Amino acid sequence: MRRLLSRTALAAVLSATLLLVPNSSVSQTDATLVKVQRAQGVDLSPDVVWILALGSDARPGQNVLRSRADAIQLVGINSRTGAATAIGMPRDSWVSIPGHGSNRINAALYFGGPQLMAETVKGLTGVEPDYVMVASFMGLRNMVTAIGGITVNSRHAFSDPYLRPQGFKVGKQHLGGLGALAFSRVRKSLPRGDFDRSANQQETLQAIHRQVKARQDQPGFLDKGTLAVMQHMDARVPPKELFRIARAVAAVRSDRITHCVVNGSIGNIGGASVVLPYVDQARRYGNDARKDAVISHC
Amino acid sequence: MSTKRNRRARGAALVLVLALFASGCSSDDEGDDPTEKGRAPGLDEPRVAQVPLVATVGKVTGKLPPKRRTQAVTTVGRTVDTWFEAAWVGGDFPRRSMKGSWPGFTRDLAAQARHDRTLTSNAQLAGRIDEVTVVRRTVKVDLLGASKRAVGATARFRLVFDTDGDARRRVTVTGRLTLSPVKGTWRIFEYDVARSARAVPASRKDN
Repeated sequence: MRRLLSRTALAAVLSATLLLVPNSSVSQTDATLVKVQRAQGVDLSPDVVWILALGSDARPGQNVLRSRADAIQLVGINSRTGAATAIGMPRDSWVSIPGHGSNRINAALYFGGPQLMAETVKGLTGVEPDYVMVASFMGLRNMVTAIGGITVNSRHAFSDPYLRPQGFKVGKQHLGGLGALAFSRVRKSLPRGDFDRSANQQETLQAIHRQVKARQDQPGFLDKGTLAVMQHMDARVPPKELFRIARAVAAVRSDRITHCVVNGSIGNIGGASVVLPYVDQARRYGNDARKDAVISHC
Repeated sequence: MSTKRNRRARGAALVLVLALFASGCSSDDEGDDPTEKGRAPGLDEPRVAQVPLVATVGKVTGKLPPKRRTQAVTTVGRTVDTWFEAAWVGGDFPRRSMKGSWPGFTRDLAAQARHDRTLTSNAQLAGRIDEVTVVRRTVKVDLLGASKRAVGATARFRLVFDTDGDARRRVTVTGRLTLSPVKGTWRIFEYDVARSARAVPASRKDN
């Protein structure tokens, strides 16, 4: 793999625009109207970094790096422009897994860990991740809790008898760590099943971004989030690198976020229901966003 | 008891008045960009900073021993002050070139800062002034610690200075620089800078 793929990152899912409260002041003696001008810049070489964000279905005690990936989001961040994008892949997508024939995409993590998962995603999208981030259910829950919960904007009303009996309503709602986890996991009661779940995962990422944006000027807030990543996720990237990634992600501008889900048809292979992904579409997303982290249209 | 002592020691270390000499604080802080290796015009001559930098510890996240905190704040403060001197208040005025204004910045960030030079340096006024008088320079450093080492720093700064010459202004520069440790020093890899200017206060004019 190209760069640091051997290192598995639980990079921060922190996204935000750096906003500085204008420090305007009016002199009592001069009564001068002060216009504050601002400049921002961040350097994360290379300019565009790709992070494969995975939600592992590992149960307590199981190895999150050798389980199946329930959530699969390829996130691109352009530190020069502040753009970010996410390409979601349904976990049941039937794809080629290098060295293992064809199988559901989420099995790649089980077969070969983060590196094989990254190679498999590259095979589908054409984009090679720089980092792989794996969060267990508890990891996501604790991360969201650490930042004070998130507010999601749900497109559907749905529920799950086990994960969320009270359900989710259409529109905005604040969720704690457990709610965010359910919002990202529930599939069966959604109109388009796996596709809508992937879209909800993207909404969760964006909600985390909004929360970070709202609180990032609090001294130490981003550091606390970075520390939470180090504590709650399996981060194999040096802490100072994680710190830089978190800052670059935090510099993402909310008005420059795009995201799409790779669609497909429902098939049956060996008696199992799978998603036959539209590979051309996945490649188009990858080609579109590879250099600037922007998808022009889904 | 030891906790109290530590707190006292930390309290004493919180305020580090760094009386920095413009020529003596930047030898290891040159930017990655080869074009940054040249110093700002006039900076080669030693001169005492008019108002010393006040660097304090801000929010510390994670485990970081007091001694390491102090070291980090000192070094980060020095890096920030080197930029204050090179970009804003140091050198001979009027100053035509802002070359060498971004020591301590990573190469790519220095290029971005050069593009934003009207806000990341004194480029707006430097050519029309004869003198700069520093009123205040402070930096509060938030630190992230891991394995008892500082792995990241956020320097929240405020620089206030008056200019004299064709343009008489009180300039306030505030914002945030984010730094990470690289080979024993600190590199600035992110900036968020706000600049405002107004007339010099009357009390100052009378002096």
